Amino acid sequence: MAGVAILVTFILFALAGGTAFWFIPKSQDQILYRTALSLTLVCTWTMWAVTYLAQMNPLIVPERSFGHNPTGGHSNL
Amino acid sequence: MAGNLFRSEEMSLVQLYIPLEIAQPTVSELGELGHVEFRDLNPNVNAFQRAFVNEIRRLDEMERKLRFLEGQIHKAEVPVRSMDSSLYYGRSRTQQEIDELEERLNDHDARVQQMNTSLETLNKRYLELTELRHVLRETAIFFDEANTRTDDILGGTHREDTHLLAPGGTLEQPDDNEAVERGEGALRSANLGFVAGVIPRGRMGTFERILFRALRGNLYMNYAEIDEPIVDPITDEVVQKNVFIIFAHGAQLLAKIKKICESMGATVYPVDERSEKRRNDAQEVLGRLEDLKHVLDSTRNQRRIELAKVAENLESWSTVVKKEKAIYHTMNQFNYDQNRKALIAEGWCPTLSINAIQYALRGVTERTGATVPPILNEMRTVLEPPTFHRTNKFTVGFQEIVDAYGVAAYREVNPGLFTVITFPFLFAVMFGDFGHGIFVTAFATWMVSQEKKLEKKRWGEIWSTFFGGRYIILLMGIFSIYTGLIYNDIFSKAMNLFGSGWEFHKHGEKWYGEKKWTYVFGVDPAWHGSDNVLLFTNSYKMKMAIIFGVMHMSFGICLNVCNFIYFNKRLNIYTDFLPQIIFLLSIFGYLVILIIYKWATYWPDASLAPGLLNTLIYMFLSPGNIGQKDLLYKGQAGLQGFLLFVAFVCVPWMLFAKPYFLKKEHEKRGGLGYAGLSDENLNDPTAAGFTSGPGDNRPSEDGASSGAGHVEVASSGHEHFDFGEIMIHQMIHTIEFCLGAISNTASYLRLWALSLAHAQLSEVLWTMIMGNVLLMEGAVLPIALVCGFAMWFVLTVGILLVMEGLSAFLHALRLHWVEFQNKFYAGSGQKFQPFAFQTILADTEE
Repeated sequence: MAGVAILVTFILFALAGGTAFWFIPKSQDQILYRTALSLTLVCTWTMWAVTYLAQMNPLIVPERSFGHNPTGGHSNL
Repeated sequence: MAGNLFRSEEMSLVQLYIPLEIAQPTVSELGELGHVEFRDLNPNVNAFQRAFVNEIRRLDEMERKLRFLEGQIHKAEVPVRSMDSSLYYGRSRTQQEIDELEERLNDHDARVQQMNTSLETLNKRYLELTELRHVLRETAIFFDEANTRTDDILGGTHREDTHLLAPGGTLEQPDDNEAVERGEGALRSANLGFVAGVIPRGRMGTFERILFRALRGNLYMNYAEIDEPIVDPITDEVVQKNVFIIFAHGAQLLAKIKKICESMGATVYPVDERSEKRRNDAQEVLGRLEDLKHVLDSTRNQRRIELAKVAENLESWSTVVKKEKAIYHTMNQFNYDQNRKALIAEGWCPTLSINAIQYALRGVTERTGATVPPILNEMRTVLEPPTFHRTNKFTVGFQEIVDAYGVAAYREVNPGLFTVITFPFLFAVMFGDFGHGIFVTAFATWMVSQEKKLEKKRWGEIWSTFFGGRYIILLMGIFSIYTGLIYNDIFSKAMNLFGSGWEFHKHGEKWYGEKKWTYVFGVDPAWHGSDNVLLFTNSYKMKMAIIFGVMHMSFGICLNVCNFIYFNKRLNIYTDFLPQIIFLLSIFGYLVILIIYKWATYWPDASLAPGLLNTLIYMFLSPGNIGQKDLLYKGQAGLQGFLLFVAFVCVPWMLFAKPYFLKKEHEKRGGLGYAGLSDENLNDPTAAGFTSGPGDNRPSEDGASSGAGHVEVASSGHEHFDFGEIMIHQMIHTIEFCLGAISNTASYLRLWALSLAHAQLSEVLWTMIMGNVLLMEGAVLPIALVCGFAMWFVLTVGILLVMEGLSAFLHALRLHWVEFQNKFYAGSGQKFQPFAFQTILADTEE
């Protein structure tokens, strides 16, 4: 199922984020860096996941009045 | 932890005993350090009764002189050597140096003043002479003309008159006069006198009219324009002037004319009747003008040299004076201990900085060789300390966004930390376009990379706003690139990076897509240019807005827990936090889950997929029931009924639980008899305020005054239990939250609306300009291409980047201030404003 991609990327993001989280050096701004990193990962992943999900089971199909195929390959005419 | 944006820094109230003889260098050192905010210990003493009024007055006088000299330098256009004023940090001035500086300033001031006055008189003299020269020259012409004419007019009567009058001796007219003299002689003989002078050209008409009326036309007037402009020495204005000469009959009339001249601002110059004398006068005037010019030039030069000398040091001097003034203003806030000849100061400082302050104080003692060092001790207090966030050049902009709404209460969770990412991200959701993001990022990168150079530029207020927010703009740009990639918008065009998941087939008139796979990253490029693209993006962006909104608000509510635990209000977790988060999640959290569930489900017949809006509405209208058509999953009706029930339970929970527990607690305390005790304490000023460190036996006078200050604050902090008030407060809070949960969620829909508007605008701009240009053919194409591209670029920057960017910025600001921060942020604090020369100098520079 296509939903697997969501799970896989989630795990990848969590792993990458977790590793980076622990490797941020202890300094004055450690909390700032950690917060920024976590929030960035949450925001970017959520946005990607929402976009992917929204196109997974489309309720409508794109309609066009011209025959250009965006894949650049065969236009069916 | 230092530099931690999560909470403001811990502050300490410190007391300083400073021996009077080293007070000035000590305060100066603390000003360089900039870690202490002094409290005013004499709030009831007005500004004129304070201890160091005389010193401040003296410095004011010095400042005035500096300003005068600066003005003179500016006027004389002498270049001022601008210094890096940081050179003057870390150097406190001794009293002697200040005295010397004052003397030097007085010297310079007096010399410049003197030169100014002499310049002024010289200039005036010069002006007069110039005018006189013109008068002489012009009158000579009049007389020459008059000469020939009077010959004609008076020629007949002339001899007769002389003949008749000569024996009477009224007029002397030597027979052997020159021919030229005859004209004037004729004038004299006709008893004609004249007045000559100079008047501004603008007044000429009025002057003429007044004269004509006053003398009933008994005058002859002639005038000529002076072609060189004359500079008024007092106002420095260039005035166009006329030379005039008026002939009239009789001494009375002449006196009248002179009076009118005076009142009209004309200057009358004595011109002799005899042409010989006039010629001599003219010669003399020319000679004197030449001399005067020399004197003027040398005086001007001297003044310039003097001013150049001042200009060299001006900046450093004014820095010193400003610092000294700030020092004495600060010292005016201290208490004076007469017995021990010491000043007592109180102030807030970050607890972490106490060591640095101690070190600075020791340095002062060593440098001045004082026998008694300044003493610092920390006091315990019930006062609310000021809020201090240690920011750096990256975080300061974000913190300012939060502070503009309200400064955090002391040690409260600071939204500034999260704003660093969430603000640019929410901005980017509304501004998502890869191309525009690149532009914004490039602009911000330029500002960041050149910041050392650009810092010194003064390009006006708009520029400094942009420059101050350069890191915010940088993050906004980077996130816009990301969201642009997700939306697959690059200047409204799409990129097909991973291969579109749709294949198009023709059915009847139209082409319809057939899904092969899901596009891997972002919106499938097949949607761009499709007829029904808006149907898809609207639904997708709207739902995304709701998801981000619910996440953002839940996060805000969760931050409450950090505050409750830190301030030891664990009760509030159960009475405030839990019902709030349950209420929000059982309605809108459930909506988010429905959205995801519907997306994740495969609907064989798309028209049978239930609308989520209807589901949500009917969840309220007919709880526990669900039509077969609207069914998403089994047991939906039951679950929805349960969630609604939970949400409704949360309302009275929020409303009554907290007042009830507070009342119970109060009764328990009252039963033990503590309440009465604390009331008594209130009347005792020393007990209610603070307990200070050892060695605090201050004179009674100032003890009482500062104690009174403490009591005032302490009594407001004292918990006076009023059940009705708490109840009303809780009611407002509950209503606000419940209604807010709905309206705030709806408010996040602006994410969708703005991003839709942005995408549509950029698409319209492209099709209207570039789309039309690309349709052209032949020789017109290159020209149209250049013009069209220029126009498209200018409009893209002006409308899409600047205006749309500002609007998205404002909406992101609102989402943070209102929707996010009202969930947890009190913002009732006072900002820490330390006594620091750096800020004082920066403030006065503007």
